[in-house]
Amino acid sequence: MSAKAKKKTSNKTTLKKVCSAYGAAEYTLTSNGLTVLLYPQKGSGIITSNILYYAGARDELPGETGLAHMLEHMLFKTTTHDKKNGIDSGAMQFERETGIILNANTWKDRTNYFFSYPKEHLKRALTVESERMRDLLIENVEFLPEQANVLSEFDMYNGDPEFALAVDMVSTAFHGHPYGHETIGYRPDIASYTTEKLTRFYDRFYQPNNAVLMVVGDYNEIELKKLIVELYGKIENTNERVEHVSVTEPVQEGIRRITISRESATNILAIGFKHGGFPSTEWFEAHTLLTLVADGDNSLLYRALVDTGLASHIHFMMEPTRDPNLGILFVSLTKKAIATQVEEQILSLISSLTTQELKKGLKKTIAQLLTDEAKNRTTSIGIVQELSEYVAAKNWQAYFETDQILKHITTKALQARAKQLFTPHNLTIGYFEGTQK
Amino acid sequence: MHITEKQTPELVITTITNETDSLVSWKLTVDLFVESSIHHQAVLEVYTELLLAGCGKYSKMQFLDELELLGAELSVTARNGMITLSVLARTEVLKKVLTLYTGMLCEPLFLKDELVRSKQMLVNQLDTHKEEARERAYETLKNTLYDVTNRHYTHDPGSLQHAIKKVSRTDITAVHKLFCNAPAVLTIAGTSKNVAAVEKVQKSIAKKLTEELHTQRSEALPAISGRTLVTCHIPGKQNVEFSIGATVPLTLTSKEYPAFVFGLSVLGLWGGFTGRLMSTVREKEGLTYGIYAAHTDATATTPGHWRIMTFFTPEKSPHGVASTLREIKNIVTHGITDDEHKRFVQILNTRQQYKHESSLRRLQELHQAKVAGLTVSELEALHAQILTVTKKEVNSALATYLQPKHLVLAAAGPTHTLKKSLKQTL
Repeated sequence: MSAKAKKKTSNKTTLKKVCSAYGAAEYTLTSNGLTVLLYPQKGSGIITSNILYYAGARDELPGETGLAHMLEHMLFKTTTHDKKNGIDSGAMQFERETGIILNANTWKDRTNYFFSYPKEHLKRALTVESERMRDLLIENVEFLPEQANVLSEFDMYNGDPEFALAVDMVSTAFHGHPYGHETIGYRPDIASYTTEKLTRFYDRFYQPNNAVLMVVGDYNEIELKKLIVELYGKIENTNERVEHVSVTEPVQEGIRRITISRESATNILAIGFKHGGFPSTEWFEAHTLLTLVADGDNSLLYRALVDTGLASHIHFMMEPTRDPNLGILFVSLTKKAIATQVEEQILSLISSLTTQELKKGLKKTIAQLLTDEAKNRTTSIGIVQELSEYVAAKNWQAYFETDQILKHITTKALQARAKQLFTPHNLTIGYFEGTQK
Repeated sequence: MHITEKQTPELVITTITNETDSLVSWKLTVDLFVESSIHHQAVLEVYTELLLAGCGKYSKMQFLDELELLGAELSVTARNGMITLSVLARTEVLKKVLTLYTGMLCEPLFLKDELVRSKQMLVNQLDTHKEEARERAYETLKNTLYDVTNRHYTHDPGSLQHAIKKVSRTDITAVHKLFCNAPAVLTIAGTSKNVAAVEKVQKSIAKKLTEELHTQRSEALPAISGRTLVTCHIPGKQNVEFSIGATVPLTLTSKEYPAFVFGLSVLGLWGGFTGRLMSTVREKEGLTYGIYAAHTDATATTPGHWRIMTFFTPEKSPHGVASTLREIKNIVTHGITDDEHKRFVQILNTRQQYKHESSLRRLQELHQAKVAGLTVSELEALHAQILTVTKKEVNSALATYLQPKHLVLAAAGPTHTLKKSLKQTL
């Protein structure tokens, strides 16, 4: 049973301003260290609030992979407050009665929970969120069916060849670092969860001094601050400090390879490369390079492989994680392509990128970033989804400075980065071999 | 946001103006459905590729480079016999984007080597598509519900590959001529100055109608009798994707349409956890991760279909299907409750509020409505009707139009060993 929050009211609890920039402001709740980030968007009538816990896949023990994600599912179940009032789940009832948008997602460094709603529901949203921070009941009656749902979710992802490849590639790429397992975890681990394991994780990480409450949208600031102090000020931390394990990945010596064989008509070549943490210049250099090389119908690899009939699709993924992680370039091969030859062709293309190509690529990346920012920042939910990744990386101000980061990147730096990323001792190569004739 | 509507012989224009918008966006849809032959379908697919493959003095690479250096987005898609152009750009680059856009429509190159490249690329992409179980399940459903002459019918990937290989440059130039001469639906969002600029350019491009399209439209809906199982075997998949549904003889302007859509929302509102199917099949029974219901493809004058989308593991499929069919039967037999009626009025009202949060969301909604033949006031009236239907009207509509004994169950994935058990479920 999780520790119950003590209802201690302090008259001296305030939101102390830490800093402000670009129209947003960061505060600390003086009673318990909760970080609060507020960013007004007047006139829309909509608010999105998000709470981020610094708890993710990186915090899981061996044999308990995916626990952070399982707990995320449980946060939509009953709290002690709900039980007293005879309801199943305050969060789900909120959605069922009002139609507000709610959801959550877990990743390597953090777990996010958000509500997006017409502004008249502000108090209810913040109340529900405050109640499940420390008052969750984790009991078998709700846990067991939800465990089945998570297993369904796992099965859904695992059916995708690219997902299956990515799972094997990260576990091959990382020997020590906890980024070596996918967020959803391994199926045997999921099947072996207990309420005790979940409660232990919940008690360790779900507390105010390990969380950031973000509110973006059309709110009244005075009303909002008052609510935050009233609802969150009384929640106590179970630990004075939350310890996160810090692991430095051992040096990789030489290229690493894995193969998955399944009955399928699909063949996929995946090239994994370790890149810097987000939102460092290193990360953006890597992202700019991969955009030039593999993003869209006009990218270099699209022209070299899709237009020539060697591939049907090309794309890449790079997660915005705090520590260095594995980015992956996926190439869906056609029947006439030979994987080893395509691999060679890709690495050769990247190693011979010209200054002109890089210069043009950088210009395009900046132009596209400006458009993406304008597009994603038209709604409070779009802002929260992007801003939370910067919060997870503990650098929210960089959200507003991305164009400046990009403008300082030089073609010389890109050339050096290409060489560094695609050198053999930085690579993990994966091959999904479809055995269906 | 300020919305206006106007109409010329060539264009149905809707504008959404917001003086604080830093983006300008527009959609242009032209209905090119002439016949549902596989050849015509193949030509439209190739046309969507070739329209972006160079114009005027620009090769494909140069044209796309210019767009990307401006940070602009331009896509061309084909669906149900209609071609849609979607454009998004920052206001400061609009003038240059409009120049490129005009060039694309007025001086497309349709080069022979680009034709060869496009066809090969599409054929290769169809190989990948053969294994996309979710899409294949939905196509299989629609191909059972609709006659082969109907615009919603999608020819199978293998046949489409053969047809694509036969598409000629003459076919492409002919369809482009149709595109330029057919009436179009245009919806624009941005500041008033930018909206006016786009409208002006589009009007200058639109040619006077010189010929009528001789459309052979068949909207015949074959009657679904009994429960039909149709499978698409894709070995090696971990899950079985399902699309369950039936045609409904309701258009967007039918009297019972609002009540039917309300009832279907209670059954399985798309997205979120509020629908009955999510509460039971997922939350209580743990059979799937997601299960939703919707009514789609109806227009102001033609009917559409309802469908349920979900997936189950092979082992859970018979149970999952049985549970789903049970929920359909329950809602038809017992109707919705007073509590559900009250809650869903609120839920659907909230959903509508989100659409007003940004010009881009509004653009999406209004364009879809205009293509379906509704005016803005008709759309708003429809929303109001949905929110004011009575419980009795909802239950009557469900009993009439959601027929649990007459539907199609389409499954795609490792279905060979499941056919028998799924048939028994039916």
